[in-house]
Amino acid sequence: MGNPNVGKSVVFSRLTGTQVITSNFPGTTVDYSQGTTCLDKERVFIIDAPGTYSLIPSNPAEEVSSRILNEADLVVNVIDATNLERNLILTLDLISRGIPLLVVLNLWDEAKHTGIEIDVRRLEELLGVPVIPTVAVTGEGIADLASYLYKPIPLPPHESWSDEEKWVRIGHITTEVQTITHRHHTLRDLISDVTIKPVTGIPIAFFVILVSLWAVIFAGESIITYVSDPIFAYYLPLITQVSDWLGPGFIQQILVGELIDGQIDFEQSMGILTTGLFVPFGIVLPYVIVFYILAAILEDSGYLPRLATLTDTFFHRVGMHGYGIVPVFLGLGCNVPGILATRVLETRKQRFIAATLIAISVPCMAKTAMIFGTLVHLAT
Amino acid sequence: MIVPVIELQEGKRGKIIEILGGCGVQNQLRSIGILESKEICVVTLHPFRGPVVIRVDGKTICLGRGLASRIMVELAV
Repeated sequence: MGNPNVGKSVVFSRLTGTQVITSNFPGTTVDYSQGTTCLDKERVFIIDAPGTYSLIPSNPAEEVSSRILNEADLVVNVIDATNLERNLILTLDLISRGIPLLVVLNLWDEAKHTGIEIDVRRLEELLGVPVIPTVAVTGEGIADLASYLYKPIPLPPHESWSDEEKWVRIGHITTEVQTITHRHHTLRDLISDVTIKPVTGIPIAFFVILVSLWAVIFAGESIITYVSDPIFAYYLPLITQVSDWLGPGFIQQILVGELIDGQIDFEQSMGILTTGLFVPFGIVLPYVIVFYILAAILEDSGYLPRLATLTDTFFHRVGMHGYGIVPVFLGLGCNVPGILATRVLETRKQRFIAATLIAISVPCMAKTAMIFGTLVHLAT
Repeated sequence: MIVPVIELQEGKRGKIIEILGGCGVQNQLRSIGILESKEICVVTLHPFRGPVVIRVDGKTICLGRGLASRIMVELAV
């Protein structure tokens, strides 16, 4: 377990070989997932817990985490090497629980990249538990971690501190083990600032959304013209033969549908083998594919939290957080993951508003494709 | 001069002197890296009582006005 968005799920996937959904925003894992791995011919259950900042739960995902903790034999605490200070509070909380603990220092490459150096040996000494640096995405250090799982882990020194003492200790630890080399104002910082300031950020947000929609339409239409239309052009003579062979009647009505001017029209025949195949695969699928590629790009670039900040003021008017943009955005692809994602929102009220908003006013990609399909005749 | 973060202007820096409020608020802010004696920089203030974006230790954090008004800072000269 560990803080949100530190790569717990990636470490989990690496250890168990299980594919779990990982993405670059906090709260992807809202329920726990379970996997097994073999150690010395023994099966070991590994549980991937949702991210939490503290052991005192403040949202449903954190409740799940602290419940799982009570049943664990060994806790692997994943921490983000680039955010040592704020991750350590949970580590100290875990140490004071007196459960065998392994600390995984993930995002090690990222930390080096941003000029943060951490003295791993010293950190081990200060915490009294093993610390393993890893880069879970590439798999670096995972073998080390697995080898630690064999060994009996010494119980951490049983200590407990008051909140005040914990913060003092963390301050002490971070100054001892961490050296931050000064970083100049990079282009990345500049882009980050520009996208988050309202004056420049709002036009950029509109631009990004417009370009995204345009890209979906453009790329989707290209796939339709160059891939799915030719495929269905080959399919037409085949299905015409089937239609002739069946002859007019009930079965033809169901499979092929109405003939328009003696010809099969994929858009208007309404048969299972004609319109029934053409609309989902020929029209909807290309748009859905492009949308998910785009969503992945936006997600990995880390733009969504910025969009959440920019829309926060507006979303507060309708009773939600700016973070509500994430489920709404996912809902554009398909309403089901969108509504599932509302689980990351904090209160019941917010989840209700977001789910309702998605259900009544956010067309999913399939609906959007249908809307385009219906309206395109009116436009031309 | 000690003022809450929301009264700083865009681009101003300061040092965090104290966090007003109960244990819950203090822990919440500390767990995201907002601690006493840290340097803080206001990246931007969104209009219409929107969120406040600050930077601490090179990390960009977005806070609501309520929380931001509890962070007391000393203006750097």
